[in-house]
Amino acid sequence: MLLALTVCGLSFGARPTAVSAQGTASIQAVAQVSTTGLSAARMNDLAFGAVAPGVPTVVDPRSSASSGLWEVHGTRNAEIAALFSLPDSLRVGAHAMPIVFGAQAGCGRDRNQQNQCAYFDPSAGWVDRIRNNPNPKNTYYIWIGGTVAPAAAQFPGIYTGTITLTVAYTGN
Amino acid sequence: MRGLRWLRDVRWWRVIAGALLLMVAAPVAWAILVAPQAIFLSDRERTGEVHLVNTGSKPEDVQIDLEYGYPATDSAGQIGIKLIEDPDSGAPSAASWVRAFPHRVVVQPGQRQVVRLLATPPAGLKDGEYWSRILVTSRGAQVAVATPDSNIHAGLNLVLRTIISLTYRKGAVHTGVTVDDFRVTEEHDSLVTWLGLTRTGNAAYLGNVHLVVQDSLDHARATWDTPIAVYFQQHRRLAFPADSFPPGRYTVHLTLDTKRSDLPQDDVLPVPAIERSAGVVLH
Repeated sequence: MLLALTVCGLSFGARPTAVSAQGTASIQAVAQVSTTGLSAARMNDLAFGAVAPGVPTVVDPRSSASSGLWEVHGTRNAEIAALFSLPDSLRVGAHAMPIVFGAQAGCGRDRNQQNQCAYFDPSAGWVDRIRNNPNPKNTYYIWIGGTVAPAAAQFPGIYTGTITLTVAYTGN
Repeated sequence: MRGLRWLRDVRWWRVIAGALLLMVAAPVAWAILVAPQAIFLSDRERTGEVHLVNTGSKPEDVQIDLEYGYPATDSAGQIGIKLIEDPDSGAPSAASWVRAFPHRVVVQPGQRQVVRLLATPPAGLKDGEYWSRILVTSRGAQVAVATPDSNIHAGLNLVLRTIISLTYRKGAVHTGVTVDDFRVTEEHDSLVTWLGLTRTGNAAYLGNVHLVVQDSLDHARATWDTPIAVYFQQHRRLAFPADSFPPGRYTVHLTLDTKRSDLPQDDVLPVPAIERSAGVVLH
């Protein structure tokens, strides 16, 4: 039964392929109807851990295990757009700590290879394609980092904030 | 009947099977599957369903909202989803008169939740298409960065919002697209196609862009294919790697058609294919 379900699951997105430099070649029209969904998971939150007063702390999305990570599954080779809602500070009560997301605070790749992901500026959004493989390898991974800058007299506490990732297909 | 048709067209069992496979293959803490990727309602079928599956290992607090929006390009030719919270009165928005039930729900791990959609359009609605985006926001537990102490700790929660499209069709709908611009240029090691499209008719154009690169001997060197949705106008920049192509003259053939494999064909308005060609010299 599990095998049958597994085989069926491979039809999550069906698109024939042929020659291609990158992306997919579609030589013939596809008669098969294959309506699919979009699945996304939050794998890691973005954690700066304990930070020292007056010392900026950087989390590099390409190299740090503390990066935030989302994993997306969808129609193979489909183009997705990612938009981010980013805070400019983390807070505990009335106290705030600045946080900055630079031009390389985001990183994306269609497979789980963090050290080979492509940097991007999360404030500008990101468009790329889901991996052109059958389920469960029809993936896209997005890492996010940032820089917090605690003041020299930063009030002690657990400063938190929220990043919202919005993901959508661009083709409908 | 809509549900039966959906079952037939969408093959829900595939979605379930895919979700199960995800759960087996990659157990994660917080994950939600939203299906299908596009909802089509009409004046004959005013109800629909969105299915949520928690493929993670912890409960998902999920909120469903509707907001007017559509794919659009920016000045750099990059595509994105344009959301408009308060659209003009003349905008073809269905966001204010389509409701989702439940609006908020906790989905337990491994569970499936059906969200029902009901369209109650205003009287006297003109024939045409009306659009919304369905925003599915899922939140996990708060990030655990440390227990309170005298130190300074910092961390961020990640919230996920998945967007799918909703289309409501009233009366006679038809669509088409005109190609206003089709140019190909070389930029560094990439081949860049500029594609200007304007939708015709009273419904969104849902189709494919199919590009074939031929060398001077008419040999196909590469093909690219991407779904496209034109709601008003688009001026897209599509970049493809060309570093493996030897220098020389190439011709890029464009075909726009409406044979979408990712959408139920009954819901895609058919339009005759359009073909164009443009030349480029790679150095």
